[in-house]
Amino acid sequence: MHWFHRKWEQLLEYYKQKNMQFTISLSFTLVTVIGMITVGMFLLRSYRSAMERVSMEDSARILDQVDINLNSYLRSMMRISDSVYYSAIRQIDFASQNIDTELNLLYETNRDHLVSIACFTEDGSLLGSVPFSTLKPGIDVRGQDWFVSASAKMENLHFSDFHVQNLFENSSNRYYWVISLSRGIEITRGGNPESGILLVDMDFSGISQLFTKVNSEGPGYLYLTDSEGRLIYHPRQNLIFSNLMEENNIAASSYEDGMHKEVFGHEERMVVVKTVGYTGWKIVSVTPLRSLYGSFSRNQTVVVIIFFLALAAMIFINQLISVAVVKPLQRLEDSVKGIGLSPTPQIYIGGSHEIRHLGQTIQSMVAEMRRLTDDIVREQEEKRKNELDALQSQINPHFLYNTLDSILWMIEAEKYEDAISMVQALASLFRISLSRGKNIITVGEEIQHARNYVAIQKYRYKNKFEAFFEIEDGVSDYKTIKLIIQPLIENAIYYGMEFMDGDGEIHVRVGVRGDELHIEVADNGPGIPAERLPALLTEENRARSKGSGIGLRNVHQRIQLYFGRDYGLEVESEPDEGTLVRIRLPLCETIDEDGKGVRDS
Amino acid sequence: MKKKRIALFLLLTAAFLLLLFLIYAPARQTPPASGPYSVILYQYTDNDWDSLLEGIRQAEKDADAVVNYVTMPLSGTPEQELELLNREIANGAAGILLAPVDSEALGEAVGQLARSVPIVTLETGLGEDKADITADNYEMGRLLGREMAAEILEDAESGGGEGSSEAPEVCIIAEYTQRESVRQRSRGFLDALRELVPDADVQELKRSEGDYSLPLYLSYQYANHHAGAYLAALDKYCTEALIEASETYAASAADADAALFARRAFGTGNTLRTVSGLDTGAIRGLVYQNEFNIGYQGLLTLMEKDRSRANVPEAEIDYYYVTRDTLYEPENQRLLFPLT
Repeated sequence: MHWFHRKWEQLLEYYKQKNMQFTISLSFTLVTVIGMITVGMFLLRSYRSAMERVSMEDSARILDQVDINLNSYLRSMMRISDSVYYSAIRQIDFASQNIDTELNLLYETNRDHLVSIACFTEDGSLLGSVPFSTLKPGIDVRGQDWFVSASAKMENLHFSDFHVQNLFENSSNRYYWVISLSRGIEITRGGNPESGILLVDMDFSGISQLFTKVNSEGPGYLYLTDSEGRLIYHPRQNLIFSNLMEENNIAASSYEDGMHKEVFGHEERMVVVKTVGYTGWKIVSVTPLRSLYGSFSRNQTVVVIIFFLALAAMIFINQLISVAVVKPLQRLEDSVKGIGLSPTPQIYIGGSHEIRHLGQTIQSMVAEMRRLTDDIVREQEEKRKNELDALQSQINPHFLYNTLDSILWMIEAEKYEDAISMVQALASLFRISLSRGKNIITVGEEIQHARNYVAIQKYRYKNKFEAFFEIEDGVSDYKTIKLIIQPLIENAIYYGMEFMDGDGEIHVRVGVRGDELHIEVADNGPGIPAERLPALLTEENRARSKGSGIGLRNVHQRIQLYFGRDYGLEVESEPDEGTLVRIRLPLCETIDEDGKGVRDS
Repeated sequence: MKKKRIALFLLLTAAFLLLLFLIYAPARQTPPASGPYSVILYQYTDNDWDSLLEGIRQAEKDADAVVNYVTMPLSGTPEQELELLNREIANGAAGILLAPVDSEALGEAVGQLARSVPIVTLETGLGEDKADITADNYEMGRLLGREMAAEILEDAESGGGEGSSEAPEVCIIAEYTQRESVRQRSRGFLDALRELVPDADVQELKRSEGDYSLPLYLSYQYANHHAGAYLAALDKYCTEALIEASETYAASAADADAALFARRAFGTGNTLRTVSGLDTGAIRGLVYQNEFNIGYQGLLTLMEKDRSRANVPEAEIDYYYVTRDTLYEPENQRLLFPLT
């Protein structure tokens, strides 16, 4: 029991692990097979019942017909007996008259069905007979059954057993199977009434013929027994007589009229019994059930083929149905999987109404999610841009303090001209830095801003370096975001020129390269170690202690935010030789404050 | 996957068409009946195989066989039977049911033919071999011997027998001994007789060249040389002759002598003539075998041999003893008066 439970659980687990198509297909198939078997069993039972009913009705019909014919035959024999008795025997006096003429007449009229007619006295003497005239020597009819029965009940007609006639000498050496019809009679001899016995021997062939035809048709057969079950007629009588075959006649004689089932000789048979009115004989119809189902057995190959063909068809159709149901779901599932992989996922919309509705819902949901995500990204970008804008607008207080301190020192040293120049440069620096709140300025303004910054720094660093501006013609009108050159110069000064002793050089070169505007800030400072170069534009939290606070990364990110990832900074550096930082910008003549989408080239 | 579905669809369609063919194709012809088989039986009188032929016909009907019944000439010779045998084989007989007219003369020739065509022997075997389908002829002879011995002993006890002071004379009609069955019965008869009546004087009655017909010969021999002897006929033809001899003798002898002849005559067989003779009291008793059964089992055995091409087990055939008093007992009626 436990083993079965465990196996059942394993089966259920296996079943659950299979995909929906397999589950649907297997479930449909199982239901189909169970349904087919159930219907098949029902039809088989119905078929068997119908066959039995039809066969029983056929048997009963044939039985009735044979019964009618047999009754008719027996009544005709009884009429012959009556005729002999009332038309002949009762009309003569045996003391003076002979009955042979009348008997001959009646015999000749019915000779097809008769073997003999004989009349005996009650002591067994022969009064007359046809067609034989002499009793066998030593025959005492008083011991024969037909005589005993007739003597015992004089008023009745008696039908004897089926037997070979053993009464008369017969020169032809022929022997006849007969059924003796005997009755007690009253004869007149010498005017005195006496008792006698009238014997009519019916030829067995007359009864045999009644059954022969019906037994030649159909799967079953009919036989006839007397009231005690002794066989009178059987289609295979000689086999039974030779003990080569047995019949269930004794048991059948005890059956009530109607249909019965019996098992005889390991064979199940349907038996219909009918009692023949006067005689008490029984006509028995036997139909082996095997023969009833014979046609079914013959067609069982076809039935088996039909079953398996139908099963295969069902499996095939189930597959189609399961595919039709599951395939849209699988395609929907696959398309949903692509949501995270593709920026513009295509949600499958197809299949049944429910699945289409589901697809449309998911598609709407994805579109909504995408819109919300874009909004979030845009907001984040805006936020970042604003932060960077805020950052770029900051002027390092330390730079401002140092610059003002330098101006103060110039005034105290009565270097008013220098102080004025420095104040002018600082003012110009602030003006461009502010730019009336705009982020976009011309390259010319940006270069000017860089010049102002260099001018201030040159005062501060006591001409430790020289700055060279190499500007190609025609680049001043291109647009750029502001404050991208000055932070690079600031880095060049702080990290490259601070320790130079008057021979420092900073070169600012602006020119068009292909379809890009390149702005290069190169110095001949100590350069940047190679291992630090890759992190220059990516390090998030790089500490800065000097300068305006706007680092390389800030400039790089702002350019990419405004112009895309194709643009930005490139850094080249050789230790002890210097550093070159290149700004790559699109050639834009107009640009709006949002940057993207309105660039001209 | 799609290809698989198409293949499955095509397979289903093909199976469906096959099914339609099976259902609607013309009904298959019923298998041809077995055979043809040939039945060749020796015979010396008309209708001497009625019961056996009835059995063959019943088996023919039950087993759906085709059987050719070949009629031998009366008192046919071994050569004639062999000629018929060869003719039937040449005509395509699938098997032969054979009652050999002469066991010795046909033994070797039929043995050779049996290598190519199944042959089942009835009633009488070939050479010294027992027939394939027959009753135990030795035991049949013993049964007849016992019944005659009982009569001899009863006569001796009552003292009414002719020559009761002398050794009882027993005459065996020693004709038709070319058949193994007759020889077997003869052995059984003599064994039983010698066991029960050791002093019996056993004589053989056998005609010589120029003698009368067998009934006349028997009548003459009984009247002139073996009066009061017990007579035994061990096959149906001898029995029919014995009956005729009894009737012939009765026509000329005193009633008591005729009655003594009849009371001491014992025969074999169940032909109409032998049964009629028993019924009229021409002989005392008959031993007979169930010939219907021999015919029925014979054909079925032949068919089985034809199918399996192997030796098949011998069939058990019953035999009985019947007297005038028991002739109409149900069991004897059924076997001696077959329904046709």
